[in-house]
Amino acid sequence: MATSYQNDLRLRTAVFTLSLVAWLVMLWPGPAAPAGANNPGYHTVTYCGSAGAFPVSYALPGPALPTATAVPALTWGWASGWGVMLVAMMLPTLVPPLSHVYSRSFVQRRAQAIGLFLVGYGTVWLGVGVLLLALQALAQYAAPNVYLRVAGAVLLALGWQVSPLKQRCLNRGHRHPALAAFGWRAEWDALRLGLEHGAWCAASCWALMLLPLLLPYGHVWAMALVGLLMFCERLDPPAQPAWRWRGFKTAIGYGRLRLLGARSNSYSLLAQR
Amino acid sequence: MAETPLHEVPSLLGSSQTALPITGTESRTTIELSPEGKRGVAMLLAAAPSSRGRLYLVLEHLRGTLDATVLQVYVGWNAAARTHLLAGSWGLFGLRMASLQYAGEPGNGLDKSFDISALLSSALPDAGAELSVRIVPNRPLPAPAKLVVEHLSVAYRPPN
Repeated sequence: MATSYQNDLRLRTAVFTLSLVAWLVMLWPGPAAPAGANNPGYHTVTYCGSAGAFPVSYALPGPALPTATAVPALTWGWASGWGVMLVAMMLPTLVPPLSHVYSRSFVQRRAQAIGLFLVGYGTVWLGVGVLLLALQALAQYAAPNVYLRVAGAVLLALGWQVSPLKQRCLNRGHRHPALAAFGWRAEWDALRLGLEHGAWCAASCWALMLLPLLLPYGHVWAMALVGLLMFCERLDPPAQPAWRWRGFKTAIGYGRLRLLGARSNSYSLLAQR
Repeated sequence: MAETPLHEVPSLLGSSQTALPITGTESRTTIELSPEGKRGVAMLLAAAPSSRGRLYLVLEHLRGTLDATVLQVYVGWNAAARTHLLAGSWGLFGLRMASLQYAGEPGNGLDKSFDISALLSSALPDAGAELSVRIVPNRPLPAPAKLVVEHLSVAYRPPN
């Protein structure tokens, strides 16, 4: 069962609009960070809520690289900033499960079911955010050299990206179980789907999400690229777990389609005859 | 005939409460309509048949191992003819592979939608009714084997 075209379009529009707003919130220039070891002199935005504690620069790398990025404290400000980042990066990847919850819920329970799904999904990612911060602190402790740290993060992300384990996690993310429509089971099923989907989503994306955290500059650019890759790899159908590049081809094709439009192919050439 | 606001008919009208195991010669269940679903059915019954849109019986996550089975799916009851109304037939090609366990979880199984728009008046003669569903395999299923439909629902798609 699929949602009707109009409902699907409405859902996609809402999701992408919310994501765009979240990106604009993150890109909104904050106050100039004070001069210091971690301050490249550019305007920075923060999504931790405590200005300057976790600078997310959208400037390209400058000549002087800092040796360490400040690890933010676990505050409500950080949590809200993490939430904004999740909406920006992850919400577009949630169109299929949201559409599933939407189409399997009665009208009067629909908003509740979608809310519970998002609560479950967000709860998992909040926990994963704390773990990523711990990994960030650990990486800075283990590898004080910024080049070494970034190289390690890139290798880790690429290694996880091509691994069969990642494909297993992506496959599980494609699974949409039947949802009960009546009673408390309807609410529980929506929450459980959010928790399960969040867990498999985090398991497939943790290495990519760690990469922007460890970059000294250009976080937002890295987040945009990682977000595009995560969105595109979910457009691919489930596949047999194996060592292979995944997501990049679809991301390049998607980017080309959006920027240059559809290419003329043999089908369109045949149609012109 | 008065115009009815068919755009107010919800996309999901009713749903089964439990999974339906199919064993032996036949299995039966009912699909309960939600309050909005009952109002929607009343609107559809009041509308002209040609402008109603489409009504579907949706069977999701059918799992099992008996690929070489064909199911006859019936809905409602035709009192005049004293017979059930045939929604359609479903050959279960690929069922075993679709049901295979993967990392400890069962496969998604097979899904199928039957267009029951033409059967609406007979299958749901009044808006307060439940939709009865009867599934009959083409041959009696052997005792240890069974098929399970995890979820059944009635969905509506408005006219374009």
